[in-house]
Amino acid sequence: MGRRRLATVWFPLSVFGLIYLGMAPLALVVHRNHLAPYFLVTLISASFLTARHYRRRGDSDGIETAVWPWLATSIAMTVGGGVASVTGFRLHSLFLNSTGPFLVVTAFFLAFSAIARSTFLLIDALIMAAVCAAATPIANGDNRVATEAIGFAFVLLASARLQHQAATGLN
Amino acid sequence: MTHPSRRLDDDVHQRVRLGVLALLSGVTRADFAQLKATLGTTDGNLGQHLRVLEEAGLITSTKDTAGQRGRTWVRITRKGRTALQREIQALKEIVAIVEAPTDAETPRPTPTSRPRTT
Repeated sequence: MGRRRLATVWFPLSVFGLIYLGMAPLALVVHRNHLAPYFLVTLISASFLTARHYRRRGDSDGIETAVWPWLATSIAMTVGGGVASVTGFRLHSLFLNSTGPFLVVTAFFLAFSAIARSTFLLIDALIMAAVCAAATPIANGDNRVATEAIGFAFVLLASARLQHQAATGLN
Repeated sequence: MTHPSRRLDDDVHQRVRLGVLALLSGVTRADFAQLKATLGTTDGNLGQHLRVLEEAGLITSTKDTAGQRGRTWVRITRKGRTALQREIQALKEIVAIVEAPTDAETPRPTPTSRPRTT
């Protein structure tokens, strides 16, 4: 991942942070196993917003970075999380159903941090893993998912802010 | 084994041209103004180097006529990426040669003591 691409990662991080923020109350209201429509709508919206952001930034900066890696990654994370959730539901595994999707996202961030050699992303992944570990004792699946969603939202939004500040220093 | 300096490509091994390829390798495309500002060169100088790179097939350029002022966007080609990688590899080998310890710096083994004979 180029330095330039890393410098713009704050935007998709912000978008995904907001998606998790919205997920938390929804998990309590509509039940964690009925969140697929929410993710479908937010994924499409997030993809559109991210693509538009990168296009506008490219036009103003005179440097364009590819959008497809972010789109492909967000789709892969969402599908992977969905598979973990459904598998957990079918196997009657509360851990896989409630924490599995978040661990999938954590694994992706760990992989990103290695590929991009990014300390920021590594720290994000470690905090995400800690959030999953801290939420595991919560017996109620919906409460666990809401707690993990809040934790992930905080990590992503805080990381986005820090990376935006760091990126501003690059220019 | 040939010296790595013989593998340096004259089309690539020039300050501005190397800078152009290095910058483009990390992005989808960049416009002329951004390249000029980043590399600290002039319109004429950059234009000349871009022509060299384009004729060598290492970059492509397209003119975007939308908006008030047209913009020239530049993109590295697959051949350009390969040429850049070869250049970087050759430079790394040169650095390794320069930084390798010389004979004077290589520690000599301590001679074992022998009884003197007179």
